[in-house]
Amino acid sequence: MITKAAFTNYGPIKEIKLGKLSKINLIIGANGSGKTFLLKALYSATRTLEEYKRGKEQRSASDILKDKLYWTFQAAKIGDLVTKGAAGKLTANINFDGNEFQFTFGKETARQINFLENHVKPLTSNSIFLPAKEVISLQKIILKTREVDKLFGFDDTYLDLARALRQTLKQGKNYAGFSKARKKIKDIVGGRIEYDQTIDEWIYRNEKNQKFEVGVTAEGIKKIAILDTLLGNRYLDTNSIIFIDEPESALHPTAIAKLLDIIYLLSDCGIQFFLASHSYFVIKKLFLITQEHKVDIPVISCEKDEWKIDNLKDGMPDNSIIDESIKLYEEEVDGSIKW
Amino acid sequence: MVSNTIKESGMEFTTGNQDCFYYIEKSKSYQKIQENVKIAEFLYLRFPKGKRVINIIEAKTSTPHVKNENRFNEYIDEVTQKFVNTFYMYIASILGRHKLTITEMPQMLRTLDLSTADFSFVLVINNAEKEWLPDIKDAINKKMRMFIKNKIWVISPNPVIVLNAELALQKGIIN
Repeated sequence: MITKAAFTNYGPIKEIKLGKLSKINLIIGANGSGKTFLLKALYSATRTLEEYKRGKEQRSASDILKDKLYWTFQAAKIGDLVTKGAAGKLTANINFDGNEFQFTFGKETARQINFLENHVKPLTSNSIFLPAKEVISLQKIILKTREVDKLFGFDDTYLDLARALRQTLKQGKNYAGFSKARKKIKDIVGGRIEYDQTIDEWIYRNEKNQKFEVGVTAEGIKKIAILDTLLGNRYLDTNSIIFIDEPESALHPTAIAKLLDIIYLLSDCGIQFFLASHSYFVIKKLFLITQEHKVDIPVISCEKDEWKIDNLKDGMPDNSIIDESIKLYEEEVDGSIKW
Repeated sequence: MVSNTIKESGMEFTTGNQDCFYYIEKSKSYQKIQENVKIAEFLYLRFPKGKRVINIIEAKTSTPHVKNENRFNEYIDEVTQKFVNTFYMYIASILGRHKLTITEMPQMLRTLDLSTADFSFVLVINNAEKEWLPDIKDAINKKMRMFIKNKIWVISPNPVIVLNAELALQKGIIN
């Protein structure tokens, strides 16, 4: 689990210090504020430590990281990740369960990270990044573009997910919380997305056991079904970290609320979540979860390049998303009463 | 025209034009039936953009948290009942079902042409955060759905307004 993180001069993030991270962490901010970038920064570091020393992997942590940064951010050279116009170098310090992983490089860096210090033991779990769009329909294209053609277009978050979905569902007893979550997901989507090996395609099977081509299946269903597949094929375990960009996209507010209940359930099993959102529904529902379950949910927000961290348990944060919701209500009231 | 204020739930409401103001909760008509019927505080007739709108005002000191489901639902039930009962009490008074009305309800309200007048149901909560208000409004709207949507009274589709003290002050509803 990531317990703390600090970055300076990392793309749009001039400086951020995240202390006291929890099982569920929410990142909010306007478009272009760097929410997705922050998610990817945390994801790259996590995946580096998960790939490091796994199986017959021979690359050093530094080599894995440089590849991860290159293919995740798809900049011509990794030095381009240093904040434009910044005087100093990019620095990253991520703390996994009390052990630090840190690295530094400057804007001239092409393919070699200047400084990397790792006190984290290789991580044996698999973490995943769920982008705003579903990838089930794009899986084959992603794999061909990246594995065969070696082209930019789909970054490593997409490639890792496309590969993770390739693993077949495993029979046998799953974690009790995962089984419960999968049942809840099935209730939301009214069935399951499955990989049909006979036709080499994903299909949607509804509760009446009717099959549908995945192309005619709703985007929201496919998106939630990805989580179901990753729980069912055991790609994820209780020490995984799930990074979700815009969990609200393509989902009805009722489904958003149910998905967040599932996220709470999985976090209670041990999975850590980082969610980037600009949805009032997401913030409000997570606030209600903190009140109901008495859990901490740090909310990391960015306003005018300044990052701050609040705890949703203490109340809804002061933020433009909340302010906009209140403003809308004030406008509604304004038009409806004259004294 | 006599200017006046009334105190309810720790707030001082401005009721500038007494010809448009009816303190229904303190009316003798209501005192006779109050044992079984809960009603809102007062009626206040306003004329926004040439229209005639009867505001039915209920004041509350605070609100239970939305997560305290039982208390919150009881609260919404009570406020909704008060709004609807006040509406019926006013109509019944206009129809002459309460004989004391003629002596205590201002003529402007008593003789108002109700065929085109509209109604607003306004809850003012002294201690409430602004961000709580949409949830409370939505809950009351939902509870009043049949009353609003059945078209029997042809009431505007969005008649519920929930304000905290800050917004009520901005609107000049309280001092």
